[in-house]
This record gives sequence, structure tokens and C-alpha cells, in this order.
Amino acid sequence: MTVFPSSIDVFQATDAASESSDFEPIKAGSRRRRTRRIGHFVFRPLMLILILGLLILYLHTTPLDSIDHRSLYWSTIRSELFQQLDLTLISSAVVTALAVLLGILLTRRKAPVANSIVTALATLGQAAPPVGLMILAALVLGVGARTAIYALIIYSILPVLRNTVTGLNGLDKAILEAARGIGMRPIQILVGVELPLAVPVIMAGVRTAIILNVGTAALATFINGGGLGTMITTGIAVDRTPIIVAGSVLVAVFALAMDWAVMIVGELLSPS
Amino acid sequence: MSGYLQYLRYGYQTLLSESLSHVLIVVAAMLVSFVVAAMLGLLAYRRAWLAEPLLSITSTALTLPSLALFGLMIPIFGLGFVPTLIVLVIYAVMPILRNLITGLNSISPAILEAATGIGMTRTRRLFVVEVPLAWPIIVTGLRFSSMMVVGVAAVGAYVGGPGLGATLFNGLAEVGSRSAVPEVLSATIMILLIAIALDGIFWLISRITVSPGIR
Amino acid sequence: MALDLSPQEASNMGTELQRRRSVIELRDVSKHYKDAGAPIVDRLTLSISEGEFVALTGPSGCGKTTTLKMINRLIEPSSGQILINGQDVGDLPSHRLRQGIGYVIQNVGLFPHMTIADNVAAVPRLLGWKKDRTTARIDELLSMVGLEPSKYRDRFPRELSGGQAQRVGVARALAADPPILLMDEPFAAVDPITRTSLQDEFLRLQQSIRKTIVFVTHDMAEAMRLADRVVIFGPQSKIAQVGAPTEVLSAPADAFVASMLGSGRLVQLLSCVRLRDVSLDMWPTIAEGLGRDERLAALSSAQRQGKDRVLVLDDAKRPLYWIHSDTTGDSSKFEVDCKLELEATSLRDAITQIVYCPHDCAVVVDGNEAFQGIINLKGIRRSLIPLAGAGTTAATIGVEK
Repeated sequence: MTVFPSSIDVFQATDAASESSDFEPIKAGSRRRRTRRIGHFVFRPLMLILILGLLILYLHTTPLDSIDHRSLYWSTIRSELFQQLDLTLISSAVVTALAVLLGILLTRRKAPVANSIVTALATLGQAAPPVGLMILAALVLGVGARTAIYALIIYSILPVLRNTVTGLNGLDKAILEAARGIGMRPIQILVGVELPLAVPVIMAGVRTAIILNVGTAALATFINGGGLGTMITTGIAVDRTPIIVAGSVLVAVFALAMDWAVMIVGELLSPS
Repeated sequence: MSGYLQYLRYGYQTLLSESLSHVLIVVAAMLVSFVVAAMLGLLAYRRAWLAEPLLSITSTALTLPSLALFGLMIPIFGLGFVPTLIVLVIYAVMPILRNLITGLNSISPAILEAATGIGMTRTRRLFVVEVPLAWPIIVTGLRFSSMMVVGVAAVGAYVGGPGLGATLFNGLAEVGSRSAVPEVLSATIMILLIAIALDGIFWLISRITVSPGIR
Repeated sequence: MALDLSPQEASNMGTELQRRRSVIELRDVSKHYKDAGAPIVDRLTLSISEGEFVALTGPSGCGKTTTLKMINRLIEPSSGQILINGQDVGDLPSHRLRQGIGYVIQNVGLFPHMTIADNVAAVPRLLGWKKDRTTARIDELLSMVGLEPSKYRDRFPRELSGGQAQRVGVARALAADPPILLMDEPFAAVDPITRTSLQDEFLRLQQSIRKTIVFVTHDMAEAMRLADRVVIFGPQSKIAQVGAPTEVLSAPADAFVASMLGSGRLVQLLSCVRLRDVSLDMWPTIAEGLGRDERLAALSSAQRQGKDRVLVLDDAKRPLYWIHSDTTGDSSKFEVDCKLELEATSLRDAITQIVYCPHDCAVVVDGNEAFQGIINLKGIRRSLIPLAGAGTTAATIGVEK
């Protein structure tokens, strides 16, 4: 099986975009980027609140029957929201921990082979359909939230691992050389130099994991994994448009909110 | 293993026809979204202030779960081929457009100045210099887009769209039956193969169409 | 009189050129940007003649590049008028205007996705040339800039060294044989050794193509070395001085110009002043094939002037050999070992030659080898003092300030 070179990174072009704006005059550019960021921070929650407001308005102006009501109880929505959070956060935490650990192992001395294998596998993983993995996992392990989390982990581990490996390999070789030169032992170099330097890489891994898992977690409903996607599948099953709309909007708002939260945390943690 | 062979014996025709329709809807979505992305990209090229908001929208939209988009299409377009195609197009446009804008923005100012300085018009410069230089990045966008859309199309079967997703959900409905695992496994592998094949085709396209001077 | 000048003579005479037809004219041109307070170019008036090589130079941010880019309208002037051959540059669509003006930029700006041939062919293709004409032109140009066509035609820019890329840049600018060439720091991005050889080659090329050239450089020495006329931009976008390199070097207009020229000014002046710019000493000569008595008479008359030798010329006044009186009472000849050409030899070259010459005396001839006079170190010093004197004082004052 061939996996073609120059595989694609989810965030590759986005990074290039932030670089390309460096062509602008330095002062104006950085000022503009900052205002854009601040705008993003404030604008996103406002937009999400507006969308939720519109959803509530829509649900209040639409005649709802008892089936609709059952799905739209606040307690139902709340428990689905928590299931969704569980699915996303647990899988992302496990994926990040695994990826960092594996990443460190793979980047120890002379493991470029491991690196290219990971890259190839990650490309392959990207080609795998998440819904297929989800259903396959259910058939093998049985339905339920636990299986959904396994499926999420399997799906997102490779891209995150690849990001981590690339990041760790990309650390300035001169610094590592210097660390060796002043007589640090490998373990000291790892703990004292490499890991602190790799914090941004690891953070990027967390971010990738969460974004991938948020998108896929909505599919957990197919295998009884719960989450906000349940409203959509219920709505389709009982043929109730208000439930479908409410479910879709909530899933979308959840994803955008998580993305926003990840962005905020990343910004707060990044040294500027 | 014998169960698998048994499934393939009676299931291969469905598998093949679903693979074909899967490929067709993906290709249709790619063609439409290439045109849409090219038009939006051109707009962003002519109106520079549009580039920033378009880039934000593309990266934001990519974080939307596919199921949510499918759900939102149902009240408007109902179930079936059309809403599936629309969702696929929305997804496919994003990476293409993003890389188109990024690619065009990443060209060295010296080259642009040289092109203008020797008397190229803006349009000529775009097609003779800028697009060829941004082309590797654009093709990367197409590759990423196609791989993602192949996966999203599998979810489309849930809202009545064509393709291999139907077999997946079929298998899910028959949990416990002997045919369930072979069905889902072979459909998943087919989807994987389609994604890899498309990736390979775009890789080939980029090998052929990207100038050796910038490879 | 001016019409009788050979191109070579004309190119070297800034004052003569100003009398010739002006090709580029800037009238009261200004450029200011909204957010910046002071204009970057402030009411600049400049006239550039046909075949003239003008260098715009000055510190960074002085407006020299802006001025250049206003000529081909990469930057539109805020006010004033720019004429090319009497026609306002605004009259043409900007891309048409630019197709008729060669443009070479600092970072070369070769199109990396095109072969060298395609890069050179860019403008001919814009102009819709026939394919075989373009192909022939590509080969002609590549040879002209010293790149073997068969070897370089199908290469890509990334396979070239900096110097080679810059040559291709020049070839691309010359492709459609434009009468005007705009060059923006073309040799700045290459290493000093390559730069010097590119400059030499470019000067040689210019001898044969005779373009009207506007050349931007921050390197004063480069400006002095290459240009017929130098425009020095001073602070506040004012023109500090305009003149031939020798004029500027010998008499910097003010302390600013003197400080820009720096301490190497005299040495640069030696490179810029040619033998035709200084007064040569005369020397007794006699025609070839005269008898013994006449030779001896000439020698004794020379000795009365304190000169122990007489130069023998042929019918076309070409120096053949020296004669001097010997012990036998007759004259004996010895060869002319130091002969310098009037037009091409700079004082710097002359000094080098004379230092190695056993008689502290070089014979100066013109393009037809005809005798013009002699020059020695004393003569060089004598002609240099008036040139350098005034400026030296100004420079000293400038430095002390």
C-alpha cells in the first residue's frame, strides 16, 4: 500500500497563513493581528450567544408536541451536553498523554524511521472514515460511551502523535548539543530542556486532539454513546424538525465553543 | 474468515455499486467546490479586505461536526442526494479556499514587483505567475479536501445520501448478525481505499502540474 | 560639434549629453504618503538624456527608489509630471508603459517556476512576438550576458548562483530591446567580488547597447564607478548634488555629500578622472627616417629644455621609439615601454603603469594610436590638486562638524 509523500497536516495551511501576514509592515501587521485576535475572542462568544438566542426564539415560536418536548427538556439537553463533554475531554486527555509519551519514545536518538512510519500511518489514519471506525468498534466491543471513547482515541491518536513527533524533532539542535556539551545526562536533557521547550508542541497536540474529537464525538450517538448528537438522530428517527434543528445548532455551538476555549487557553499559555 | 468470504460472495455487487456512487458524489462535490473556491478566492484576490474574514470562516467552518451540518440541511432540503452534496461542497470548499488564499498571499513581493514591473497586467500576472506559484499549496488543499470529503460522505448515508455509508449503517443495524462485521469492515476498507486513491491521484496531478522549478 | 562625437566620447561627457535630446523628464515631481508627514520625494526636477547612465544615490529612505518607481508608475506621483520622449507616462495604460521599459530589481525577481528561457521571454510574449523570433532573442541575450545558451536555457532559477541570476535579470529586462532601463540596486544582493565583475561586464555591455539607464544604489562608490551623472539625494528628500562623478568627487556640494563620499574620495576620483580630462605635457618629437644631423639637432634642442630624449613618430603620428644621445656622438634608440590610451585610461591605471615604468613617463596616444602628449607622476599630481583641493577642505570641515 502506498502512502504518498508530503502528507497533509490539518493545521499546515493555517500556520502558513499566519506567517504570510508577516509581509505587511511590521508595526501595522502586529497591531492588526492583535486586534483581530481580540476581535475573535469577543466576537465568537457573542455570535454563539446570538445563535442560541435565535434557537430559543425559534423553538418558542414553533408549535411543539409532546415528543418534541421530551427531547427538549433542559434536563435531557444538560445530560447530553455532559456526555458530549465527557466524550471529548476524556478522549483528548488520553490521546494527548499517549501521544506525548509515544512521541518522546519515538524521538529518542536515531528514530527517523519511526518518524516516517508515524507520518505514513497518520496519513492513512486521516483517510479512514471516522464513522466506519466508530461502527466497527461498536461491532467488536459492543455499543456504548466507552466504545465511543475508544473509537475517538484510535481516530485522533495518529495525527496528534505526528504533530508531537514533528515538534520534538524540530527543536533547535544547537540547544540540545549545548545541553550535552555542559555534561547533562539524557534524562536531564529530556526533563530540563526538551520538555520545557516542547510545551508549545504539546499544546498544539492538545488542540488538535480536541478539535478532531469534538467533530467526531457527535457521531457517538450512532453507537449509543450519547452526547448532543443524540438529539439529531432522535429528531431524524421521529421525524421532528425542531428537534433536528435544536440538536444540530447545539452540536455546532458546542464545537465552536470548544474551539474558542482551546484558542483562549492557548493564547493565555503562550509566552508573548 | 469464511464468514467474510461468504459475505463478499453475495455482497460484492452492493459494495461495488455503493463504492461507485461514493466516488461519484465525492468527485461531484470536489468539482463544484473547486469552482466555488476559485470564485471566492478570486474575489478575495480582487478585494484584499475579504481575505482575512474568509480565512477565519474557513478555519471555523472546518471545526463544525458533519452531523450538525447534515442536520441543518434536513429542514431545508429534506433527505437524499441534494443535502448530502451541499454539505460535502461546504466542507470541500473550506480547505481549497484556505490554501488558495494562503498560497496567493505567500508569493514573494519581489516576484510580484518584477511581474508588474515588466508590464504584466493584473490578470496576466495572476494566471502566469501567481497561480502557478501557489499551485502546490492549492493542490495540497485539494488533496486534504478530497480525503476529508470521502469520510464525511460516509455519514451522508444517514440522511439518505448515496455511497458506502449505507452498508456501514446497515451493518450497525444488524449488530450481532454474522454479516455485520464483514459488511462494516469491507465498507470501511473501501472508503479508506477511495481516499488513498484520490490522494494518489492528486499527488500525481501535483507531480505533473507543479513546475520542476518550485518542486 | 556635438554631432561629431563618437558614442564613446559622448557618453563620457556629461555636459555634452545635457545638450542632447532628453528622454526622461521629471518636472516638479512629489510623492507623499497620507500617514507620513514629510514628502518622500519633494518637487524633484530632473532631465535624463538619451544614452545617459544616471545613478540615483543617497542614504536609505531618501526617496531614490520611489523616484525610480514613479518613472514606470509602480508608484504614482502625488503631483508633478513625468515625461518619456515628451509624452506623459500617465497617457499610456501602465502595463503598456512598463512593457517598453526594462526593469531590473534587487532581489532579481526571476519567476521560479519558469525556465531561464521562459523568464527572458516574458516580455516578448507579452508583446506577442513570433516564437522563432523569441527563441533567437533568448539565445542572443543569454550570450550577451555571458551565459552559454545551450547550458542555461532550460535551467530553473534556483539552479543559478546569485550572479548568474542577476545576469538573467538583466537579460530579461533587455529582452524586448527597450530604450530605457530602470535598475533598482541590481548588484546589491551578490558578494563583493561577483559585484565588481558584474559591474565591469555591465559597463562593457552598456558600451555596446547604449541604453538610457536610471540606476538606484546606496553604494556611492558603485554610483561613481558606473554612472555618467550622479544624483545624490540628501536629507529631507532634497537633492544634495547632481553632476558627473568627477565633479562630485572633486567638489562635493556640501558637508553631507562629502561625508557620504567618505575618506576614499581621492582614490575614487583617481578612478573617475581619465587622461583626456587632464592636461598632458608636451615632449619634443621628430619624424621617422631623418638623418643623423637632424636627430642630433633635435636632441640638443631638447636638452636645452632639460629633456634627454626625443620621441620618434611615424607619418600617422604614431610613437615608434625613443632616441637619446650616446657616447659615440650619434643617437641610439630604445623602445616605448609605457603607452597609455587617452580615453579609457583612468588616472588610477596611469599611476600603476608609471610606477612600474623605468622613466617615470608614459606616452599617451588616442584611439588611432596617434601621439597626444606624455604624463608622469608630477603631471598627475599637478592636475589632481585643483580637482581635489576645494573638496578636501569641505570634507575636512564636514567631518569636524
